[in-house]
Amino acid sequence: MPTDREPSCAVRGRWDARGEVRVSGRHFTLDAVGSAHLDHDEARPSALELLVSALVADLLAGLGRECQRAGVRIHDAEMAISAYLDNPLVALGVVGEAGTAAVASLNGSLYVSSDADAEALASLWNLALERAPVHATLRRCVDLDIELKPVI
Amino acid sequence: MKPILIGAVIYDPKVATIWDIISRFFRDRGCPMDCVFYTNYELQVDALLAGHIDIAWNSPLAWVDAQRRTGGACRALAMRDTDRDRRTHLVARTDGPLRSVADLWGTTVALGASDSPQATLLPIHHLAQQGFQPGRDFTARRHDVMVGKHGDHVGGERDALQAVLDGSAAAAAVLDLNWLLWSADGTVDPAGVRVLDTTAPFDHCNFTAAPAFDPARSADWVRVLLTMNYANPEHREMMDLEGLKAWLPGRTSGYSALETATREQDFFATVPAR
Repeated sequence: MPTDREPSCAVRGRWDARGEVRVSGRHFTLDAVGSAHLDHDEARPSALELLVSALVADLLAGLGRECQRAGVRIHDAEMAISAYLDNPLVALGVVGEAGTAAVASLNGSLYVSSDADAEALASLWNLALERAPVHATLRRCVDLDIELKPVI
Repeated sequence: MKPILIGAVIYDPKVATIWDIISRFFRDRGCPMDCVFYTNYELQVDALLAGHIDIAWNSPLAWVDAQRRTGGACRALAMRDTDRDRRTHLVARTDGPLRSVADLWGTTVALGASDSPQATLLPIHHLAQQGFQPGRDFTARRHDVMVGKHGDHVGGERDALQAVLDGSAAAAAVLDLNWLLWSADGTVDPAGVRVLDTTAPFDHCNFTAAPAFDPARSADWVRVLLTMNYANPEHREMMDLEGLKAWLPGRTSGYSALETATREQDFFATVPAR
């Protein structure tokens, strides 16, 4: 842990007796429920959904920044990512299951409509990937496959 | 109050949501319960008998195992209406040569997983009662999908049915409820496959109380369970997910054929060491 510099971000979390977690930092607050729940009626995200959301935000923000610097106008950009756990039953605490609760792979697509041609857009996308901290962290340990799909 | 711990075997994360709903139902009625999930019934029965859980949602084979290992000291607390009086059909193609069970001699019979009561153990027992022994009078072809889950996963049974459809087996063992479902959803054309024979009725799953679990607490838990009412829309989703219209008190009269089958087939001697 580097001690000679400030952290790049810091958050605090509080758990309450209903099993909810409230995370706060700077001027924001997020509520989360569970690690990787499948309750479709639950409005609050799970920790896994927050992780994948962080990746989506990281990459879309990064692409936007690189395009702005290059003077490329984005008309629309949308990303869809799915996460696959090594063994979701381990995350649920099923006794006797083999494997781990880790995210094994993240697959998805990025649809972008912009002024740039496909080659220029790919170049900007690669720059965004290199400079995205969440992506750079996850790619060390997760099978990441996000396909850039320019939309004419 | 310490929650009552219920064990359940799950093979798909989606199943966990059913148990979340059931747990909330009990908590809301002042009878807190929590679930512990197991990857197979052997581990769950071990946990029940070790006192790690109070009640287990047991397959019929797990019930027989628990009774065998405790000298009959476990208690069957409750079961679904659909757990009572199940039957297994032996089905064959209508365009094939089989007209009766007697025609099975020398053929291949497709079965489910090796530990499936409905698709392996009970049909073999049924055929044995009519003088047919696997390996001697017919070839038993098992479809071992998710062994340890006692046939909960219907994949083995569906593969057995497919073996009849593709002609690699003369007959297959299929639970009556699955036969109805697959006949209705197009998995099988009921005009092309017919029921050759049917086993005697047997019972399926039950909530099994550990011998040491306080009878007063188990009675309280059953009382709450039996308040689930299919006519109540708030309960119906949960009951549909579990495949029942009513919870009924547990009974033990429907397991004798399976007990006999496990002895005849020396089943527990061949279960891998725990």
